[in-house]
Amino acid sequence: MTLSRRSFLKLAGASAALGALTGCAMEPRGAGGHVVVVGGGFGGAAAAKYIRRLDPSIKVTLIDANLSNYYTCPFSNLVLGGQMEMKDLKVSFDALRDKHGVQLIEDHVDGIDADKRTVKLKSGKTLGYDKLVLSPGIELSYEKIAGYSKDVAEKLPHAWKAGAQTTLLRKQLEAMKDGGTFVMVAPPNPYRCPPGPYERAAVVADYLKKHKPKSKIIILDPKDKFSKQGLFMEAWETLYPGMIDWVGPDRGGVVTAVDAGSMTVTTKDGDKIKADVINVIPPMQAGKIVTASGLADDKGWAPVNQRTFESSKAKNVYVIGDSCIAGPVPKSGYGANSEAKIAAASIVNALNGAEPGDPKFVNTCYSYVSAQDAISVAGVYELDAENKIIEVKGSGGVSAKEGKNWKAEAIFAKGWYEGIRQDTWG
Amino acid sequence: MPRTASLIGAALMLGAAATAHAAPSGQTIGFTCFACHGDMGKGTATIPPLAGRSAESLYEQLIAFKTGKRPATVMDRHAKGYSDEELHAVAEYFASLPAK
Repeated sequence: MTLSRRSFLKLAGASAALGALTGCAMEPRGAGGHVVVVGGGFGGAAAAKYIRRLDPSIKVTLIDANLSNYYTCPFSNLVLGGQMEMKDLKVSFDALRDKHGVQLIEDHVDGIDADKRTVKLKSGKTLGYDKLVLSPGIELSYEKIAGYSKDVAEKLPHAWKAGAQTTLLRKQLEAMKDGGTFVMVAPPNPYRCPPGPYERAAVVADYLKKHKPKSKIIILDPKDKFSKQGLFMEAWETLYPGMIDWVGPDRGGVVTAVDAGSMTVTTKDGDKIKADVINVIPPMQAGKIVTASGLADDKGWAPVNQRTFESSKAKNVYVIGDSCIAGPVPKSGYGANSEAKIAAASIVNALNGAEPGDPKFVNTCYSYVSAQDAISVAGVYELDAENKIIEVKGSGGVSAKEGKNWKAEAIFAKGWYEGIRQDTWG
Repeated sequence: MPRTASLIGAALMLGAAATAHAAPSGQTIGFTCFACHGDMGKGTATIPPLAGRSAESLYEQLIAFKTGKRPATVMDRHAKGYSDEELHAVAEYFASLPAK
């Protein structure tokens, strides 16, 4: 790109933005540059939409291998509990294309070349970009638990990526006998959706209490504490007394091996626990395209500039959502959506030659503790003087105790789900 | 189009983005609210719309959440994350959006 063309693009981008502001109809023509977004989840889809919203002169191409078969992880625990169906979780990308002018490509990304600014697709196609957004979510580290693999997950589901795995675990729970044992192997930090395993235990308990009341749930956990622990334990004891046994590391909760043949898990202390249904949520790391492109640190997550979300390891590449390191912002759909908007603004600023403003991030994670009761954790985040993301002092925290707002929060949780779906894909 | 007009356009669009350490704009804060309050603040079945409401009333409610004067399930926890100036900016932003 020559300098003269570059300055032309800048001006064209700025005037197109003025057009959008005053309501003039502008044909999307990509005069402001081309942004490629990899991943159509809460991060990627929101980034694509908000780049177009902030500057319609920028051409945006969104790539995901599952565009026609995409389900949200949030609310998928309610499918396991039988309170929702898979079709309720399905996402349509039509509005991104038809309303916001995002180009859609259903394909797998094989690799990126950050120097040449190209993305290589499985189909053989190569796409050029000015800015690249990677929002691939997580990769499951199956190999960190002996006896576990992608194939074994067909028998011992993780159900940590919504879709066929969710349906599989639901079917296993339906087939389980009354008096059966459901074992969940919880993951170590950091991982996608910190309260997710404990919500799952609660809504599965709700189902078992109604249909198979003699059954047990054992959570084997390598962590000595977990998200909203006080509220979850209070809810478990109130709603399902004696049904859920949370086993932390001090009681032998660290699982080192699983065996699908004998349906047992083995703990670090050598104990073997037999179960009827085993849900293995293994350790996680950044999505494969992030680690394979050398954008992750030695722990497997992507360090980024906390103001812009540009990778610390490659120019013009932005990593958002579960894959990136965003300080105290949890790996949640809300967190990814919030990061996406900041990344979108910083990309639009950069393509228009402007400086980024100060960001502000928000997270709210609702968790159901029964079909009609929910709790939440919230946080508001900003940058400190060293440009590191911190939680604003005095903000956020968890719901009131003693089930004070369980019913109201279950209703607001539904509203949140409707709202964030609209905001991300609508 | 003269260059100055283009630059004004960019500045308008990007909100308070002219300096490296500008405070978060009303738009930046407002965007984070859409996840619950719906795209462009138009509300959902169970969460109220914010778009097009008066800035004074929105600001008053936000301050009431922040001080605990108005009981809430989650808005008190959110409102405490902002300075009064930020709450003012986000109230102005929602007031500027078209009501549904």
